[in-house]
Amino acid sequence: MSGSEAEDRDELDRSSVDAVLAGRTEAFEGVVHRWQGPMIELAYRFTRDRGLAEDLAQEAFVKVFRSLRQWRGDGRFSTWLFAVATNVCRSRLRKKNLPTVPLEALEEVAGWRREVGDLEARERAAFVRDAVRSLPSRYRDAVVLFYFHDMDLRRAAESLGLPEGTVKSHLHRGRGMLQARLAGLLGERENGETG
Amino acid sequence: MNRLDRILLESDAPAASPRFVAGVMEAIERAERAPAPLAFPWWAVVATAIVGLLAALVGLAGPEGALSVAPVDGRILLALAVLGGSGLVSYFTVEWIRD
Repeated sequence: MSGSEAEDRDELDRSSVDAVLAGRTEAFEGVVHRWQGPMIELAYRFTRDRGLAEDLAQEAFVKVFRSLRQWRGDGRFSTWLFAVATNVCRSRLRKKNLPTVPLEALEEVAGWRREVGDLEARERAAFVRDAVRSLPSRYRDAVVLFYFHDMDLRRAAESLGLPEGTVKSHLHRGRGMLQARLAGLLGERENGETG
Repeated sequence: MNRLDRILLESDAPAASPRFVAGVMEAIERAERAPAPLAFPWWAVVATAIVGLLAALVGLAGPEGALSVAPVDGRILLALAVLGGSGLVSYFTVEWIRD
């Protein structure tokens, strides 16, 4: 999204929020329309479950609606929206253990999948994205937010409510773990790419 | 940018279902109709903390205790404990029922 497009969206968000705070609940529909795609994408990156991603996105929108008066308005509305959604997703993942390959077994499963199925590139990519959920939560969160925000560290840190340096360090550790365990599947040993 | 970056940058997230926006707005209307959440009963927490503090002091200042503070009437402690405890129990019961 270009800078001016983001500013236009923020203008629209601010006028929707003003209208909602003035008593026009239906004005929130504009916010949901504009951000439904990114919100579902963020929740899906955390959960890798279509149904659950929609549930969490809905829960986040309701939470945002109920807390609109707490938004200070000193940053983009979407920054706050994603921070709330991130909290909703992390909170749900803490309560609900979704099935995932343990980190220790990731390398073995990746190797097995590579040999057995001669996976299609798309399936291989999906396996790599699934593998992010195997990371310890603080590394998983940094990896999810960094790539969701198109590799923008500052925005990832804003969504997580952590200093940039902390997110950078978590990201480095998380990416390192994935690189090490998925190197065979990614084919990086063969073509010499490194992390 | 390496291969891992390229894969993780791409998204295979599903598109929103056609009913998603309507579903969110219905959930919001339900939330609006629901009564406002109860304020956390800080007064009960404070009352319970006072009871705990007084009980500790009474324990220290008992007949063989090292401190020489005036003994506190047990009935006052009991009343405060019942008040604080019942406030907390009521709050969590109501919140549990609402969930």
